[in-house]
Amino acid sequence: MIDKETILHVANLARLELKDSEVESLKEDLGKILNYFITLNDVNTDDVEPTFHPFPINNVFREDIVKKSFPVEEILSNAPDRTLTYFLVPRIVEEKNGN
Amino acid sequence: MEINELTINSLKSEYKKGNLSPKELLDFVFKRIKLYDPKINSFITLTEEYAYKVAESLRFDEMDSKPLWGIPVAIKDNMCFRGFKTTCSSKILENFIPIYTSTAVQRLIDAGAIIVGKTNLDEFAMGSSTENSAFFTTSNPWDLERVPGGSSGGSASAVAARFVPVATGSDTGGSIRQPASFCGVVGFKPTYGTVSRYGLVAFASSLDQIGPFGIKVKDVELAFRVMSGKDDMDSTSHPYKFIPVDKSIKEYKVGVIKELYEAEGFDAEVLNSLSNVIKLLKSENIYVDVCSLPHLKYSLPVYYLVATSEASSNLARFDGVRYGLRVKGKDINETFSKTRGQGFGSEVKRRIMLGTYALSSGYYDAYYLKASKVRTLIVNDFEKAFREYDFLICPTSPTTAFKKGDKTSDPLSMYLSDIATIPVNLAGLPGISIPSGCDNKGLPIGLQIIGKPFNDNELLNFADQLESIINFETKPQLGGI
Repeated sequence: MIDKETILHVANLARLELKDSEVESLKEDLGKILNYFITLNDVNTDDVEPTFHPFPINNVFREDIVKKSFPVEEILSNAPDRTLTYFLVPRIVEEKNGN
Repeated sequence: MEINELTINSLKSEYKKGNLSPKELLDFVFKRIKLYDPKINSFITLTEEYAYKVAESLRFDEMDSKPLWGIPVAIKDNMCFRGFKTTCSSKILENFIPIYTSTAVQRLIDAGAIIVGKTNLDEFAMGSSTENSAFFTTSNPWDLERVPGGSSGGSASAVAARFVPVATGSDTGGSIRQPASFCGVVGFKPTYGTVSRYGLVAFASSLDQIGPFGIKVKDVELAFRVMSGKDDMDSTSHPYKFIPVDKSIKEYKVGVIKELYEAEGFDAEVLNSLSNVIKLLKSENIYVDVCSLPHLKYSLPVYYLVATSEASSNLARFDGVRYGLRVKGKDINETFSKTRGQGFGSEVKRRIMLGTYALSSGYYDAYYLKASKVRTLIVNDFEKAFREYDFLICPTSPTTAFKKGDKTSDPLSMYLSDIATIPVNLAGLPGISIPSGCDNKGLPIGLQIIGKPFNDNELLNFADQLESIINFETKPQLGGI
């Protein structure tokens, strides 16, 4: 089973603000789902290599050719907030006095 | 021909005879959508003005060189189409207008197709019923009380209601084949990598695949031929070239997957329909035998661990900085958390949480790594089966379309409706669902045919011939609208 602290910890890792009711229902749902997933323990995978992709694809390189990128105005056309040619976000680095 | 038969070949033949123009067809299509779609809700966005402009610009002398000349197509709303909203049926992208077009959609346009609208889906393609859309639930044209399946339920219902002959879907664990089965149409998930994913909003990158819906296999094949092939914008795309085959169905060996009809939860009528198909194949002297893929029973946990892990990473880009919804917080972390908390719906949150948990420190080996190892065993099972058989068959879904609300409160029971389609994505194989009959309520049943990787041409050849043998001609009566 999964407890409330774990749900809140994972929600913090995922940057997801959850309402109290969501914490409760996720606790129940994830508990049930993870419990069902225990069946995987029945399978012996001692000498088995994992598959992360359907087909083996190694590094894919392209020629280093300079190409036009999207115009800045278009890139910014969906921005929720902007200034000049930048995306505007709340302050990330705090000042020394905590302001 | 009735115009609402809407197969590509029949429409092109009417064009050639001069009996129909693209504008006349659009008049018919939009009239039909406006008449019936308010009850079905296939479409989120209609691109009417654009469509008529394209229709006017089509040159008659290009008809032979453009395989989809004048063919109306609907696009699942998780594929970018420059200048038109791409919402993924999520509040977080409600007003997002992409500045580029996905390769698959561009190739349809280049082949002469006319995009008529964007279709509803489960938010970010996560779901099996199209009830997880942030906007509205789509209804099944065969019975409006029932779901069309998911996540490409809008596209499947648009084809089933004969609004368009072709629509695109994306299939991560069955999201083309399962709704095709519920809506009585053909849905094809090609081999992983044959259609570029550039411009498809990513859900689980090692599983996602774009594919077409249609009324007949031949139409689906045509759309696939247009969309497939190497794309420099997607490093995982494959230099696939479709080569037509002319081989009789009698030359193929067919295996019936034991684990996907003996498992719990398969309706008797669905299994009866499978038995009928087996009888039909045998009556045509086609080799059919039962085969066992013992690790398939672990597909569901493997899929939900792999898909949610990949989703938790892919959906990290929705943070309210560059596009989409932003809910302001006191600092950047609170802005991220509030934006995502208010922008995502409950199923998306559930999957992000599950994936983040499975990848988090202390759990990675027990969940994600373990699932990836069992995935290898599932791939090996398929490889072994394909040494003996050309194609594998099973029901596409354990049941026919269920009623709205029936499974929304229990995520596990919803997940179980993809039990027969999920293994195919884990192994990257091509799979197609074709209608194989109806149950006693008159709801369609789908048959899934699975092929070897990159053997899509032969799979479509087989499916086309089997479609003729089954001869499913029933249409929805649009739920008595």
